[in-house]
Amino acid sequence: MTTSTSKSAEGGAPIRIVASSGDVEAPFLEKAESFIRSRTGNEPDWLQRARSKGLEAFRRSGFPHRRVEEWKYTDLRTHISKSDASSSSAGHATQIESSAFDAITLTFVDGAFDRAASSDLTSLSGVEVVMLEDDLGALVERQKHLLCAIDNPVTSLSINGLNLAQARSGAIIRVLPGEALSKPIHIRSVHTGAEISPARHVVVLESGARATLLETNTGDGVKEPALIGQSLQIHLEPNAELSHHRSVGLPDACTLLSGVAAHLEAEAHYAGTTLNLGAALLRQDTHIAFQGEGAIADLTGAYLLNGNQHCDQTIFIDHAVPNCESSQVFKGVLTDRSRGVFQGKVLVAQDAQHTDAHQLSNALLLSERAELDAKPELEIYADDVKCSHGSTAGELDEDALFYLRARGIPLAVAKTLLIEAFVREPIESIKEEAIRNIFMQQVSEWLQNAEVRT
Amino acid sequence: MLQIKDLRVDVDGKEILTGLSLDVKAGEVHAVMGPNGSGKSTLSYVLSGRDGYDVTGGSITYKGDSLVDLDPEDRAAQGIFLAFQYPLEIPGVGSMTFMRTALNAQRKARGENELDAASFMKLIRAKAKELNIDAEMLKRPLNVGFSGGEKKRNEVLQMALLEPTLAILDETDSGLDIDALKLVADGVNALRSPDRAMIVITHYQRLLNYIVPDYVHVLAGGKIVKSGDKSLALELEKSGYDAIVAEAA
Repeated sequence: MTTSTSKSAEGGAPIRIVASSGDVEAPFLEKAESFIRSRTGNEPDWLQRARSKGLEAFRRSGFPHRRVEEWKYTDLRTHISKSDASSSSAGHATQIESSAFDAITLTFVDGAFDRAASSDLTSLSGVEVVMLEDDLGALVERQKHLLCAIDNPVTSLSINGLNLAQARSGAIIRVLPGEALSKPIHIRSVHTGAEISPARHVVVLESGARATLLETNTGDGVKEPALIGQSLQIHLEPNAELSHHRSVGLPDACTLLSGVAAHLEAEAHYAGTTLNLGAALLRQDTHIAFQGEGAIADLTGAYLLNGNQHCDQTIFIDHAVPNCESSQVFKGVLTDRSRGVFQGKVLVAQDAQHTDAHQLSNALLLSERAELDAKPELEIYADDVKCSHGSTAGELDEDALFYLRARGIPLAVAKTLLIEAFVREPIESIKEEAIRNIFMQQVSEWLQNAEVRT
Repeated sequence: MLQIKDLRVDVDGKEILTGLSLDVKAGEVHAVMGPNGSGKSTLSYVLSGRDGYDVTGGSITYKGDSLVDLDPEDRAAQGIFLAFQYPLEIPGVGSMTFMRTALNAQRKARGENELDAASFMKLIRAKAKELNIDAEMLKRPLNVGFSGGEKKRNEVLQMALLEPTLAILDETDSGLDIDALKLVADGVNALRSPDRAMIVITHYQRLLNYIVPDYVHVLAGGKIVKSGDKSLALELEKSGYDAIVAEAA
C-alpha cells in the first residue's frame, strides 16, 4: 500500500506541453474544422462558439503524452500515432441485445443516432430526450452549460475540446422532478468500422428523480484502427438517484476515450459500475463533484484484459462540501501482456468535514508480462474525516486452487471459478437484476474465450 | 486398495517423510497419530497430490496403479478425498456451484453422465438431510462465515456427495467442541462401508472414541514407528508420544 500526495489541484488545468509535431493531430483538426463549418446555420450560435473553443483547446495542446502527469501511464499520443500498426486480433465483444430487457433504447451507430433502431422519443413519460442534432430550443440553461463544459479536471481539456468540436450526435436527457423511471435508459453504441464520430451525452436528473442508465459499447465489425470518443455529463439535483452501468467489449482495432463527469447536489446518490472487456486502449475518466451535503457516490468496476490491451481507470472525487460519502472498488484481471492503470484521487477540501471516502484496487496478474500501475492519491485538508485506500496485485490463491482441484475440479475450471469470484463483488453491487446478469454473463463468456494462464 | 512403500517426500528441499509404509484395504479405517511435525499433514497432501510435495523415493499404489504423477483432480476422480484440516473460505464461489462443479467434473472424468441442476438439487438436499445439515447454509458462498463446526460438516457433506473410495481425514477434530465433534463423527461413521477405506489423521485420541479405527499407527520422524489396534491410541493418550516413540526406537 502506498500513499502519494500531489500538489493541490487548485488553479485549474495543469500545464499542457505543446506537441512538438502536429502530424498526429492534423487530420483530427482538419476534420473538426470542416464539421463545424457544415453545422453553421444548422445549430444555435452558442453551440457553434463552444465547438470553436473546444477546437482551439485541442489545437493548443493536442493529444496528451506521458509528460502530462495524468497520462504518465497511458501514452495516448504515441498510441494514436502508431495505431495503424496496432490493430490485431479480432475482439470477443459481446453484443448486448436491446431485446434482452425492456429499456428506453437509444442506438448510436458509429456515433450517429439511429432513430429506427431506437425507442420512440415522442412517447416517453417522465423524461425528455433530445438529440444533439435536433432542435435545441427547448434545452434548459443547465443542459446547455453541461453540453459546452470542457474544463473537467480529469479528462484532458484538449480531448474534451475535440469531443465537443466533433460530436455529431448525443442524447440530451432530462428526467423530470420526482419521476422514477420504470425502465432503464440504454445508450447502445454500436461501431461498424466506418467513420466514427464522437458522441456527447448530457443527463440531468431533476429534484428527487430516479433513473437507471446503461451504456454499452460493442464493435464486432471494426477491423481498421478507430478512435472512439465519448463524453457524458451528469447532473443530479437534490435527492436524485442515478444507477449508471457501463460495459465495453470492443475489438482490438478500437481505442476508446470515455469521460464521465457527475455533479451531485445535496442528498443525491450516484452508483456507477463499469465492466471493461477490452479495446486496444481504453481510458475511462470519471469525475465526481460533490456540490451539496449528504450526497453519496459509489463507484465499482471490473476489467479483464488479454493480449496487448491497455485499460486506464482515472478517477477524481472532489469532496468540496461536508458530509458526503464516496467509495471505489475496482478489480482487474490481467493476462498476457496486458496493462492496467488505476489512478484514483480523492480531494477533501478544508471545510469538507465528516467526509467518508474509501478506495480499493485489487488486481490479479495472471502472466509475468502483465502490468498494473496503481496510483492512489488522497489529498485531505479537513481534519475530521474517514478516508482509506488499499491496493493489491497478486496471483490466484494456491490454497484455494488446491482445494478446488482436490474435489476433482480441473485446473482450468478452478481458475475460471476463482477469477469469476474475484470480479463478482463489483458486479454484484448492481441492483438491477437484468443488468447484473448480463454483466456476469459477459464475464463468463470472456473467461470461456480467454486462455487463462498463470 | 492403497499400498504405500518406503515413501520419501521432500518439502522445500527438506525430507519430511523418511520411508513410510502403510497398507490399507477396502472397508478398513486406519488412524495415523503423531506429534506435531511428524509428517501427518505431509502424508495427507502427498496422497491428494498437492504441488510442492516431491516424492523422492518409494511408491504409492492405489487400486494397482501408481498415484505419484497424477494431478489432484485426477486422483479425486479416482475416488480419493481429502477432508481438509482448515477448509478454505472462498468468497464469490457459491457452495452449490462448487459441489455441483466438483461432482460433475468427477462424473465426466469417469465417463458418467453429468447431473442437471434439478437432479443435483434433489441429491444434495437428500444428502444434507441425512447428515442433519441445514440446506440454507449451502446458499452461502463456500465456507464464508461458517463456524469451525459448520466447515467440518460441510467437508463431510462433500464426502457424502462425492462418495470416494478412499477418504483421508486430516485433523478433522481440530477446532471442534465436543458437540460439533460428535456431529462430524456421526457423519463420518454413516459413510463407513465395506467398499470404502478411511485414513483418519489426528493428534489426539479423543476423535477415535467416536470414529473407532481398525488399526492405529504412530507416525514419528517421517515414518510409522508402531502399529496396533485401537488400544494403541489409548496407550498413547496415557503415556504420551515420547514414551512410545522412545520404546519403538
